[in-house]
Amino acid sequence: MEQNNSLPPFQGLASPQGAMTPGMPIFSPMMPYGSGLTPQPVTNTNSLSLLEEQHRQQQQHSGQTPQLYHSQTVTTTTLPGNTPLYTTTPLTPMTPITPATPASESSGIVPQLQNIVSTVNLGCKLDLKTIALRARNAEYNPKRFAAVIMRIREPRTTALIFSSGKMVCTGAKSEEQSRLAARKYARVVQKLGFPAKFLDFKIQNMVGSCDVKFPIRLEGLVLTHQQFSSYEPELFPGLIYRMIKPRIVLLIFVSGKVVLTGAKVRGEIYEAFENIYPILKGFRKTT
Amino acid sequence: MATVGLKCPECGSLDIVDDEHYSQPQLVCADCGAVVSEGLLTTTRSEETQGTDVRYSNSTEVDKKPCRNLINGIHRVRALCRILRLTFLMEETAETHFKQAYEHPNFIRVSLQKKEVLAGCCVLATCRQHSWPIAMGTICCLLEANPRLIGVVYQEMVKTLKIEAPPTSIINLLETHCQAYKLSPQHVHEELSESSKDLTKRAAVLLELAADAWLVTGRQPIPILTASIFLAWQSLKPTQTRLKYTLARFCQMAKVTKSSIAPKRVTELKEVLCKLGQELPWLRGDEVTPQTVIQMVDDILNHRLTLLRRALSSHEEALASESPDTGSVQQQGDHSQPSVPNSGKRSLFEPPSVRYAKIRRVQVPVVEVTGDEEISDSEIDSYIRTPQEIRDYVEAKEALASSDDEL
Repeated sequence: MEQNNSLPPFQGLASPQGAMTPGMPIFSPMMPYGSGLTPQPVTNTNSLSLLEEQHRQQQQHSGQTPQLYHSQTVTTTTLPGNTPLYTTTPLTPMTPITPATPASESSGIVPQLQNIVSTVNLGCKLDLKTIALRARNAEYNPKRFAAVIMRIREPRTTALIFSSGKMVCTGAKSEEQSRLAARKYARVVQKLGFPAKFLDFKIQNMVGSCDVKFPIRLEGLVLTHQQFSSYEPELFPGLIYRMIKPRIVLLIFVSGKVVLTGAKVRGEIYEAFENIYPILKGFRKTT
Repeated sequence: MATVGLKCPECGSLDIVDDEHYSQPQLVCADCGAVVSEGLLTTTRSEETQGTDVRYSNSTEVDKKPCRNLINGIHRVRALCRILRLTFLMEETAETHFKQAYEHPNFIRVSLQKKEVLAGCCVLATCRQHSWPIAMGTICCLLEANPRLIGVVYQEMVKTLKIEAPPTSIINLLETHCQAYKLSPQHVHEELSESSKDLTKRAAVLLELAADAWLVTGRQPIPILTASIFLAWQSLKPTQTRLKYTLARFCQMAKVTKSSIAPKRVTELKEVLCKLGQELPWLRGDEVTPQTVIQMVDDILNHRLTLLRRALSSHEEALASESPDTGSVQQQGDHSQPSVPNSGKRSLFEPPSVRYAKIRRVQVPVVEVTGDEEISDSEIDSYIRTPQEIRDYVEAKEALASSDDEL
């Protein structure tokens, strides 16, 4: 890629989707670099939310329908970049570990656990070929993966059983179910003739999800909580929020659905949700 | 004493020392000066490199040269900056980032492919830091790499170097994107041409409307940009010629790649415009269809705040009249969705993912379990093959294997 400035611009370059490299002249004053075009944290100029505010106030105070040619008190957008697209609140100066939560009542929404991943040590070496041969619910493809994949119906879970005797159990909806499932797998392996034990059962990861029931402005959230959030619509439609205390990763979507993962205990998920709920409420836009 | 037990042949003294005559090592008797033995005058290459105390690579003789991949990477960064016509300062910043990232333990051992992508990611981060609007898709095309890989490398790089790179807002991307459309009079027929400035202005308003109506959040930015520019172009001069143009044809004319998602965005945006267009007082309640709305876009955008207000109030009235009816229906028992509808549904605009929510699989009721229950033998036996089954399975496998061999 040894190109110099004398090459005519963009010739020969494939222009597939996304190649909007502009044919703008260099150093032109119109060129969009520098200040002025980054969304600044200013007061609300989001037309829809402002209208809803006014609407609500009018409904409360007068109860009349608004006049047709009501003088518009809001600024209309002119050129791009002069008005920010989304409402933002001023950035907090410090870097809080926990997002600041006002002393309000709890959300009333309880996240549901969707998946628990746990591990256990069966304490003996296993012959995977024998297990795959003699068990009905096992699959083993050594070229693809070096473990037996076993499934049971109740609780509906999947286990990866390794030749070292270690096992990973996934798919349970609660800690107790995960433990019961792991015990059942251990019992199957026992019945197949191996001296399996049940050592060091540990929950490694818990995933929960819930719905806050209102749409969320992700662009606003990423601006105010930049140090925690990552929002790349070109890569993934949701915002990835890495909470530090408790150490949970949240996937927040525009529909209001939230997925929480990375917890070792149930309480971390609940705590993380209680922390994020007031923040999300701040980005609620509907009446 | 150089070596123990060596005796000088001349005087018989045991005092032999290591001495060098210039570069030739010699064993010399300290008493009489006789040379007992001497080493080679010259050394072989292997002795030079392996026999020295100080490693060649650590000695001052070796000039620390940057590895070839680093040089290639820096060239790539510079080339990308020149293609994108970035300022000199930005080029320097990108180069610094690349060098830092390349030498970091997180990146020094990654595959060559990732190192190539790293160059593009450094340029992207620099552009974001300097508020230069550029989409990840652009870098993707310039590098001809997988967008997912770029995403992964970019996020890791930002985390490793701890740089703050705020994502570009979509409205900034619009102007850049607009410039790529070749719609000036020298490129297309005069009736179809449009100045970039007007197009940008109109498209910006449409884009803001789309953002308010939840069409932008969480979605790919480029299709919605294409859609707003297309509708802006159509609405600036809504002649029959322009209205007959489909999005695909428009993209072909403007020499821009078409996307499969942009037509959907056009439909969605037209729906929003229809909702607002419905409130125009001089229509007196006439139906506004997506076909007829383009001519009205001018009016709609000029008065959009008023129209929004009216649309909101008429929507609320519609809901208010609906709710006493739905209340009685629900008492009779219905098979509606078990979940409470999202409050977004009750507002005029809601994100499409809410409006067209996927039908959820019926949730299996969670059985309360303690984890220490008794496990019945019969249940476990149901997971184990009978001896007959095992025999059948082995036979079948052998038959399959032999038939494969025959083939």
